[in-house]
Amino acid sequence: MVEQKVISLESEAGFRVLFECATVSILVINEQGSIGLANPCAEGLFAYSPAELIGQPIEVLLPDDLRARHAHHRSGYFAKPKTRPMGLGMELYGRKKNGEVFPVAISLGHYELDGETLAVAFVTDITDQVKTKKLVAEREAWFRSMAENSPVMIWVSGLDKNCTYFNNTWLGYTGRQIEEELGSGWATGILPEDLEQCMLTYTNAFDRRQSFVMEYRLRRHDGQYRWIQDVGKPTYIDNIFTGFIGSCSDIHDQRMMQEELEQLVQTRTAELYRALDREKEMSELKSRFVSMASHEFRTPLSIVLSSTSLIERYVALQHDERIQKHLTRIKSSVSNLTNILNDFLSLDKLDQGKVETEYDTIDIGQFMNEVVEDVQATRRKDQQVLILHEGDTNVTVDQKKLRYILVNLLSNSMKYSPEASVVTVTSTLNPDALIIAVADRGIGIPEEEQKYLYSKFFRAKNTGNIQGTGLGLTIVKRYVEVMGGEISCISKQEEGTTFTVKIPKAIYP
Amino acid sequence: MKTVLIIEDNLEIRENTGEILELTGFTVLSSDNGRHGITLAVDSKPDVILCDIMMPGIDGYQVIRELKANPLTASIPFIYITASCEKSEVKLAMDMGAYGYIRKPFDVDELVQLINTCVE
Repeated sequence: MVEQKVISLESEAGFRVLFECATVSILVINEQGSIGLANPCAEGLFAYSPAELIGQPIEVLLPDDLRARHAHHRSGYFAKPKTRPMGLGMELYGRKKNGEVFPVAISLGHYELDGETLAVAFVTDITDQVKTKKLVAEREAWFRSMAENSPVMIWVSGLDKNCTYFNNTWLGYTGRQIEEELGSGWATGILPEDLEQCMLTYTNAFDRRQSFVMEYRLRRHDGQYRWIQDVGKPTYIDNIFTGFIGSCSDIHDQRMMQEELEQLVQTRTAELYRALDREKEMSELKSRFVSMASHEFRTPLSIVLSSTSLIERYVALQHDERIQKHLTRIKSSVSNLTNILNDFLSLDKLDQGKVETEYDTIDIGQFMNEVVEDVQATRRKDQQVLILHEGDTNVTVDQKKLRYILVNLLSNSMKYSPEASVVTVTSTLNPDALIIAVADRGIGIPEEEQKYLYSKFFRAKNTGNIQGTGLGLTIVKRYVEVMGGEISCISKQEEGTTFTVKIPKAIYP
Repeated sequence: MKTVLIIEDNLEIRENTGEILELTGFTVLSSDNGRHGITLAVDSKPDVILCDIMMPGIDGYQVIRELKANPLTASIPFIYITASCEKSEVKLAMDMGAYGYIRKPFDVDELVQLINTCVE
């Protein structure tokens, strides 16, 4: 079949068909440059009528300024004719009948006819290719200019993960030469602490050809490490992966501000929680107060009210002994209420920081006897108070506060100890401090509750219905602290309690 | 003569209430704790029981629960005395079958009137 085709092409008719129908322009010229043949495509390309070109010099198809030079090239070709593209490395142009110039590509061939050498020119209009090429070149220049002048830092990496490009913005930011940055040189600018994570993100994204966003600290030209956000994307040409392109922005200030803001939010949240806790605590205190006040006020008030009613009746009955008993009860109840009120006032003063110290020099032995006298009413049947003192007896103290402290500790010991038990008060005056210990063999304080011992309104579970406001020890501790001292407690349930108060001597004026 | 049993841990209130009721004409039995109070109630079947709510050991709720569960004492009118002003506590005691309640500090005439109403 192939052979048959070749044979048919060798006939003149075959060549004529080729010549007439070819979509490439074909021109045949002689050594003088006269056009002998022009196919319809050539006539169309140069906008001449059929046969109009025959006999015309080939130079009519060239722009005016090239004609003279072309005549010279033509002679050169005919001297050494061979099949080759024309004007290698040059831009070639054709000229239409109307003078319009357009770019062309030309191949040359030759043959002999009747002893004359004829040249054949195959001309292709390359206007579209030239336009496309120009457009591509323009676009590339445009993109390059955009990249160079972009406010973001841009990098490009190849298939081997190494960077092949950094824009001027990057170089300006790092203050380094392009040679220092290319390949993996850029990574030396990353804060060592961030390097591992950064490389891991880059390598993983690269291997999976996935976009990534990462943040790391990069050394700026002034030596400061600043937070950078790097957004990388895989690049493709004709669907073939070519590497990555990335853009980076300095987000340092923004990040610092955000961190500051987060810190602020955390601080504020903590403050809010603290306020909430205080609020909760206040609310809890309030309900403890209401519950305590309700019970502690209503009981003595009931006694006052009922004793008063009874006195009225006993007056009519002239029952003096009973009247006396109820008068004593009323006095005791009123005194009880007064003590509660005084505790409230003392605590309020302490809370407001309005408590001041007043020092006198006293005889500790005599003072202790007075204290024991003060708590007589609390003493249970056959209870004994043992007072022991060691050291000098003259001591300078705030006696009102010390009296409150000891009355409170001593009456607690009596209230919470069985009948016929012994409460021991030991005082020691050494060169540094006055130390007083009050020890009993009472019910003790449950270990798990000891941490609340000095909290307002706290009553241990084992106090049952023994009267008390839960304010005494709170005030005792605060008074000890006002005097610069400290209080400690050792207690075991069912065995007893020892409170030790230590007031430093150095504080006395 | 009608008998009133007072169960109250506070000595002064227990004694004062007892004296008032005795002067009014009641026979008074008294106890300073819940457990003993229940025993007294079962043994002597008083006409009225006056009981404090907040007491160490067995509290007033437990006392009324046990007394109402016992056929011997279930029908004895039960009045409780409370220092609490919580409505929920009042409701709880009433729901448990109390005849009435009286709040500390109480008016003596009111107490006597309440006891008279319930023994009648």
